[in-house]
Amino acid sequence: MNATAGPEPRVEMLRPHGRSYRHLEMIWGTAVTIDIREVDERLPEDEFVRDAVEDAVEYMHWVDRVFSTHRPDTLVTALRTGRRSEADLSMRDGIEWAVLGVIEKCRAARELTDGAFDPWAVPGGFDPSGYVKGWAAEKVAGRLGRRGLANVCVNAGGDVVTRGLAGPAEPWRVGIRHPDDAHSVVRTVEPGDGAVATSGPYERGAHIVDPRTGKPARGARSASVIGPDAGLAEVLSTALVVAGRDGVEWFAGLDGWEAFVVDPLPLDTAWSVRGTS
Amino acid sequence: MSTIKSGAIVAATLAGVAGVLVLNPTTEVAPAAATGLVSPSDASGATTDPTVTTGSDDEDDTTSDDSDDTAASATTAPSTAAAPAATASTATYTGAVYSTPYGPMQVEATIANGEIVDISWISLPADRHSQGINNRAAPQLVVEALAAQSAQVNSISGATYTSAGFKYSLQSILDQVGL
Repeated sequence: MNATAGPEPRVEMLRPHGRSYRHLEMIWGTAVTIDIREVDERLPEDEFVRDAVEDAVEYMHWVDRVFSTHRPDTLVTALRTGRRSEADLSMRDGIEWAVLGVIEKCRAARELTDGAFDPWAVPGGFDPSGYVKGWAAEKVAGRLGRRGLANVCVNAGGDVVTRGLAGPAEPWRVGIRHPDDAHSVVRTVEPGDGAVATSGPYERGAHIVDPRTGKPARGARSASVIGPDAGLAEVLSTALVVAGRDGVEWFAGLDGWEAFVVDPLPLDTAWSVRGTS
Repeated sequence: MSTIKSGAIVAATLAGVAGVLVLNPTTEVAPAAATGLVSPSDASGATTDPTVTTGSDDEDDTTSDDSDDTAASATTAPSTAAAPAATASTATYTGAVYSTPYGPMQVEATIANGEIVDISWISLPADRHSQGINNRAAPQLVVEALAAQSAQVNSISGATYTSAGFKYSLQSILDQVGL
């Protein structure tokens, strides 16, 4: 840990000004928080907000029952073990349609990242988890939005989706955690109606594997991506942990996206890039 | 009402951490010293007004009509954590350290009126394996010194570390608090 000496930086969690709701759900192998704020328009009555959150939580459990790689009974597990194959999935079945959609996004992301993200080239077979958490967090925010809850922050184990504002004239501010010092951040971003995702080499209890070598990724010690979609943000951040600075080659073409990456030790540097079309 | 809510949330949480109970017969937890966390304990002035305009700007999620969501399972926590009252007893606790090959891991939880309102990592493994990296820098790339900063934020983005470590450390807090 090459943390700097001197006064200890501190991260303070801003508290809501007015009415707000928070929900914590332990799911997807992590902690998911939903933060709903009253800003300019009145929030609906409590029961309505609770219903909306309950609906969002049910949706999270549905995602778990379809996409979890840790449960024996999910469709994704069936694909991983070869009991089912992509070829016999049908667009007419709701669950299979959802899985096909995720597969398609994963394939596009593999191409976009020049193979740095490749959920087919990991031990144990096809694992879309690197996309699904952000994708589903995005869906949760969308579901709450369609219920009229316009000011929402969903944090799925560090993948953060924001909508609207945190308070009157106050954008959501998201800190990017320092990779070696959980008491401080390396940068603060305001995703607006967007998302920020961060990946590190030891994410989710396993190495992020470099799909091209099969070895642990060593391109960065932390990579954060800010942009309009949490699923893609998660994938891109994972891919930058693999690709490191080489990832600039494909990232630079992503209009509306921004990356902030901490170099691997022993370097004491970070780099950023803003994509342009 | 507060009791019911916290019961539900704790039940859901315990269901999530049940797997690590066995690993964790004795743990030591102490209330955290000064940490950066401020608990959201004063969301006051909460008036309810049912006449609300709905359906605002969140139409970006066009493909999300996953209508086949099946019924809620029994483990679903049924309610939101409403804003704690101004009189909430709020404290921040530090969990036991979980050792990994890469370094220690530890969580911290803020508990108000028997509900977990915030959880964050306070110790994470760092990659000590150095290795040379490709320093070829494309023109668009801006390099700066890595600096630990203080900040006021609403949320934190960080890599998701092993859920086993998370649950282990969180369970030690729940044991201590008696939830």
